[in-house]
Amino acid sequence: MYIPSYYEFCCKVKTVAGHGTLERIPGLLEAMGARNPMIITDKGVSQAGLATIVINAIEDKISIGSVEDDVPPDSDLKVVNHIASIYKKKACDSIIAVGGGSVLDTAKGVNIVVSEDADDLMQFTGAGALKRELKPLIAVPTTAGTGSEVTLVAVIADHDNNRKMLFTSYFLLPDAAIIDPRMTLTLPVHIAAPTAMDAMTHAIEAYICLSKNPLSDAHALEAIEMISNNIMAVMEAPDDGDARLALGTAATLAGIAFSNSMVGMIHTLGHSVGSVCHVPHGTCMSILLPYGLEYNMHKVGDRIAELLFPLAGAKVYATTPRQERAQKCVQYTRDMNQKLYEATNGIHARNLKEITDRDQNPMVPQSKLPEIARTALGDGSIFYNPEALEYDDCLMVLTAAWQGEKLDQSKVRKG
Amino acid sequence: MEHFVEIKPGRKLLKRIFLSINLWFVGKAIQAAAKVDDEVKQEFDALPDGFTFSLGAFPNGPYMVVGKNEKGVVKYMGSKIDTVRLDMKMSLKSIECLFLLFTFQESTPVANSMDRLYVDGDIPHACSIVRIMDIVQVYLLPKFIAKLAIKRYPKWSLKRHTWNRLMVNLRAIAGF
Amino acid sequence: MENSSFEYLCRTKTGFGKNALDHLPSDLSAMDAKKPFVITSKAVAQSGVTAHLIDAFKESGIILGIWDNALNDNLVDTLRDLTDLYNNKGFDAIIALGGGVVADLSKILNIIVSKGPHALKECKGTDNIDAPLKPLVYIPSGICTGRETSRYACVAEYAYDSQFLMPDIAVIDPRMFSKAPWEDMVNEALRSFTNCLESYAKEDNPLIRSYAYTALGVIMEALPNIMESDLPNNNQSQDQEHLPLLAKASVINGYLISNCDTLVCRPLGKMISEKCSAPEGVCMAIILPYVLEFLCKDRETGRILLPLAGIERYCAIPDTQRFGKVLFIIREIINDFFRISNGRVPRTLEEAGLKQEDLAGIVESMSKRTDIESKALALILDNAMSGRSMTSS
Ligand SMILES: [Fe+2]
Repeated sequence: MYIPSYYEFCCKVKTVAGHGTLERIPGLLEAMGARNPMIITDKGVSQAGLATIVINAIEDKISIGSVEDDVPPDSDLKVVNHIASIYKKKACDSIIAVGGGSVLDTAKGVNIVVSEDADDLMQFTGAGALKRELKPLIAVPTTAGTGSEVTLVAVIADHDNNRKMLFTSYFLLPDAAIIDPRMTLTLPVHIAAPTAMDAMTHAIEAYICLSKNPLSDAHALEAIEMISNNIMAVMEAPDDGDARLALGTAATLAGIAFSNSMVGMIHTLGHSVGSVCHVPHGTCMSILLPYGLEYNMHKVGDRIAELLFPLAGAKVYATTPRQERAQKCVQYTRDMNQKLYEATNGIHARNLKEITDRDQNPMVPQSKLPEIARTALGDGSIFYNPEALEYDDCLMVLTAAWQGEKLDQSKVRKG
Repeated sequence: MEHFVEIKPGRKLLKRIFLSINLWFVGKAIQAAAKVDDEVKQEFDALPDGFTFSLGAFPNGPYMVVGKNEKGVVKYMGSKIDTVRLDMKMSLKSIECLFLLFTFQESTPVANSMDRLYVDGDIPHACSIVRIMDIVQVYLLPKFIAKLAIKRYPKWSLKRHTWNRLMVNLRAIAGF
Repeated sequence: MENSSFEYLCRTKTGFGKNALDHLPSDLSAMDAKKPFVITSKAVAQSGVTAHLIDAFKESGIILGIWDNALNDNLVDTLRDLTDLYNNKGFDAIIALGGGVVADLSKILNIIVSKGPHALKECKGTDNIDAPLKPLVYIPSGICTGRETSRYACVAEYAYDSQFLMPDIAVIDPRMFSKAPWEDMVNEALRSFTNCLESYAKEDNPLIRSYAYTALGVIMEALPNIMESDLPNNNQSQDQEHLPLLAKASVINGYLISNCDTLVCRPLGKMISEKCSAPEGVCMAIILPYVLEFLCKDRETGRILLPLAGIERYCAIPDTQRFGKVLFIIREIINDFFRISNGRVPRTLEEAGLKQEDLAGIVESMSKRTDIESKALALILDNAMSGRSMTSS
């Protein structure tokens, strides 16, 4: 076991997972002295009927102060201030955030405004700016991927001043995360597949990158195994509640793992593909996962080899010769992508050139790779990767991932 | 009252002096490297004019401040953080954590991954600064020590390793 | 997985290892704490470790108050004095430095300074605190029980149970540990070992498994060192490496017992210990194999070998033999301690000095706390008396 000479671990979020756990929300709020929650969600979530499920599950036990579903895909300062003013007007005393990353970011922003009675959110940006507990916040994730229900950051865009505000504090962690399979049961398989692979990548990067520690490792191993055991079940039977629950739980576990140990180059490159070409995050993760393993093989091959156990099970692990385990692990992630490609009738892309938008146009032209590589150098996750990455390295990996060819490991510059 | 004492923990003067000197030298060396080294120059060119950053220990220092003026010239700006407007602040959680960094027991990425180092500011800018400090470390330190601090020891030309190294060190000390 | 649903909460941020204390001033200020009140005991203060704590606050500008007379008696009077001190001197956070007594006192003091004197009575019982208290830091400095980081606090008839009693921060810094008696270390190790393994086996909860897996890995690493140190004779640990490791497992043990309220070995071991000469942790470990056999009799159970053996060895042992291997490992640990201590650490309840006539009483009080039938409890105890394996009876 790798034990760093010092490490910290913290996840103050109460995790409540299972069938029927939405009904526990009123009790959880009451235990924190809250009686009049505001529900924050977005149009997509409410149109899918998910907000209604939450409301039905709790309304006979607690009064709901207000339901706001105006959150844009990219959280926005004006929206935060607007929702905060309604919160105050309706005398709400807590927040239930139902949705993905931007809903949660917005809810965290609203919580800062209403708890600190702040006019200017800017004064709470940066590490250490928040000093006190905020109002009770319960997160109900609807995607089973991002893990944002257990991360301590929030990003809010200030479009007027063309800037992004970054908030980091343990006080931003929700008080509870509710994982109820009813929230993900209707998620189409071609979206469920990449989001599950995003969670998988969180766990795998948590396990192989520089900032790993024994507790994040343990969470990562559990997460990888649960995703590996359940992802194809969801592909085959999208209404399999148990498998959906397992993926949702695993996404939270993976979130706990990576928020305590950080992610590496798969996210470095993935964020950049996403920001340059507007490709969904999970799609980038699925494609880049095997490449991130190959690139770091010479540095952390033993860690990658261990991952064969949660991915493929004890039998495969025991029957694979020791020196072949790491490569087999890489192959396993490639095979998963192939299976997901087949299960989604070709929607789940296996390489960057295969990614298309709704009108079947390629989204990542090869000519964009240099720009993506340059953008990658400005992503903080680059420093947690075991091997160093410079511009040429990024471009090499991106080119291989674009073609869908294995990375030539002999060409990786070894530091 | 019995069994009770109130203690004002005091200072760590030797460590403070050691670190102040180190920070001063690194600050001067960054200023020098920005003149001598093309890669450092490029990284600074990408930062906005007027960009200033600090490195130091929470909560009372010591610190160093380096900034780029409106003309794009990089300058060591002293050891006071309250008299300048900072775009980025890199702080170690305590003077001991800064000491671990400057005695090469822990590198910047290690300190960061152990939650000993906090960065306040834009992340792409922070990435540039970390790369600049990596290069400066290669200039200032013997190879066997620099290898501990950075992931991939660079393959530089002979000129960069000898002449540039000499210039960075000389300029840092002489301050030109 | 049908009907499965679980909860998990650990409110504490834990820092493990080198220079951990040096993070405290910054971490406290992140919670807006400017003047912490250190509660500790005479023994800890005399061991000199407070110097390291004070050192960590140098250059921080933070003033510390240190009170070093934590005892188990006179709770109400002590609390009144401490509350006065806390308020008069303007403290705004508590640092508990030491073991169980210090932690219990600090937690209850925190209830009162956060909620007022009436809270001493009003907050008694389960879940009667509905908001976070003042920042509380826990620093172990020797033997711990796990309760320090748990949601429980108890002094005499004053017993509290709330998530808000878990400390905000737990700091395990190797510099803070002085020596401890060998048998206390054995007891601490076996207590954490038993709780972690039972919760790993019992709970279908991946978060519990993750914490338990980590702690068991730590204990399995520490055990050979504790055994090899062969110290029952000179009675003091010479090597300060094991204590921080054990503290790490105990701190996690505290998180686990806050989340599993149906553990069997923990209350049962306590009841047994009260009737015999062996300490709690040892009694818990003696009954552990029998409890596991009972709990796992109709479930897939080979999995619990994983945290004991690690990935490599786990995969190499065939599925059908894994559970047997677990029982073997537990018995081996107990036997080794017996041998090394020349019989001072018992292998069976009989050796622990438990009398046959006490069994019925223990079964009766335990059956009130669990849904395991009295008959099964009696069988577990009966076998643990003599060290027979369950299957043979
Ligand atoms: Fe991600």
